Amino acid sequence: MLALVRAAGRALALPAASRGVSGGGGGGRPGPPLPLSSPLAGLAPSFRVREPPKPQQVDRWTEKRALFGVYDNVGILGGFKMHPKDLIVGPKWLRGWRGNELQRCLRKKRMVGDRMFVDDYHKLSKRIRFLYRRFNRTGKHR
Amino acid sequence: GAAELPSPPPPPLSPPPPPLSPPAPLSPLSPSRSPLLRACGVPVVSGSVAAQAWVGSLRHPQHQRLGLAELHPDVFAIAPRLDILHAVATWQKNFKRIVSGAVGSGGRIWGERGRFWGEGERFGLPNRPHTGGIAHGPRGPTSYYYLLPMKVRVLGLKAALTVKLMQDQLHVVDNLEMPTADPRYLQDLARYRHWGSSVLIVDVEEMPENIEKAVAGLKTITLIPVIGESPKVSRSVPKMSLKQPPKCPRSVPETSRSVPKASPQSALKHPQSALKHPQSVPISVPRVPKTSSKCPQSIPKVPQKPPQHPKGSPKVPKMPQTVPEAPQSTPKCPKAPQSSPKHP
Repeated sequence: MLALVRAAGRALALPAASRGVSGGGGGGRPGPPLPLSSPLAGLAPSFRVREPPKPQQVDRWTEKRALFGVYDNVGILGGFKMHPKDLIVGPKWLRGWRGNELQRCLRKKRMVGDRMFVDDYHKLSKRIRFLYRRFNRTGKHR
Repeated sequence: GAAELPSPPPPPLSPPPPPLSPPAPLSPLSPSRSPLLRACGVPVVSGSVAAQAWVGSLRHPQHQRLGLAELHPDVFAIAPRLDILHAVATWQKNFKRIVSGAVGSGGRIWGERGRFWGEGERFGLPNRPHTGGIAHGPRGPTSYYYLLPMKVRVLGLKAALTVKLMQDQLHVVDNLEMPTADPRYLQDLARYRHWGSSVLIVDVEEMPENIEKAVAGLKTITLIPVIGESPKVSRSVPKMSLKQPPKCPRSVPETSRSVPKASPQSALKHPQSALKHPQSVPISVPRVPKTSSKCPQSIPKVPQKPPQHPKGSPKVPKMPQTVPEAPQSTPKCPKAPQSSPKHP
């Protein structure tokens, strides 16, 4: 029993490479030696070199990028029949509107509350209650 | 040379005629006059002079300067307000932004940590509903909507047009009729006339088929219709068909924010930075297929390439469905000409 523990201790003292533990990607062990005929013989480092990530190729002329901002001036140039806020895509309670967290919660509850799941509605109400107290009863400004 | 021209070039515009009183803003004229511009009812203030631009044509690569157009200085010759351009560009980028990132607070994550693999039974864990939540994380979908004053946005449009005209990046053509539907013709034309690495084409009314097909397969050349006008059109923006200047070369992406994505007639996508001169590339004169003199606009038989656009339709953005079609109050006269505003 004691001999087993000593053997384990001696095994732990050895470096990880000879222990046979394989880490990610070779574990830092150098690869097989290069033949003398290769141009990099004797010049390759004995450790793994981590290179920076390659720059990602971005297509600057996709449909979305090429036509970004089209119709943003639909009101000015179209006789004010439409408003640019009508072009915004998103949740119903956030189209063409901006507010802080409490205002957003209240608006969501007003507009979408009757369609929400019960648990989500309950959590939204709790959040409103907490934020109301936080804004109006704590801190310097109340 | 003249022998290659499919039809004689239209006569150049005469010098500004005497002012009419009062000029009908949208009265159609006979096609024998230069079919270029509609009249602008806003008179030019006596102190300022109308800006001028060459009028060309797409039918032949050498039809670059067929006539002269006068542009209203209140739109095309204002002070180059780069700060307003920046503000409008930033607005266009941000006002539509809705961020969906949501991280629950402690109260919202209450009871959401399920123990599905018998941990509670095996290890006797107490029932702890408070598992997780981040105190100051992003909360729910957030919108970044705001509106610049309308006059600021209008000024942004004017500033963009002014800057483009000043930098010789604004090109006016009489109409968008092309001899072929070959996208290579359009690319060669853009290179021959030094329009830059990208081109934005705007027209008032229906686009001819040729140009729609030609643009369908191209990425850097975009075709955009102008939003339909209404009787109560904004008086400061004259109606004309014009070709937008080329966009900035792609090597300068960072300065693209400085130019608004706002447009003269409608929501044009403005080219990226108007401050860089477009690169010059080797010139190759585009080949114009010969057409008969009797029907100058006949489409020659060019092997049609299948459109490379994935949707297979011309590259025209779809208007939102909610816009009701504005009935055109004026008869459909393609480019009803009349000279631009004159001194009263």
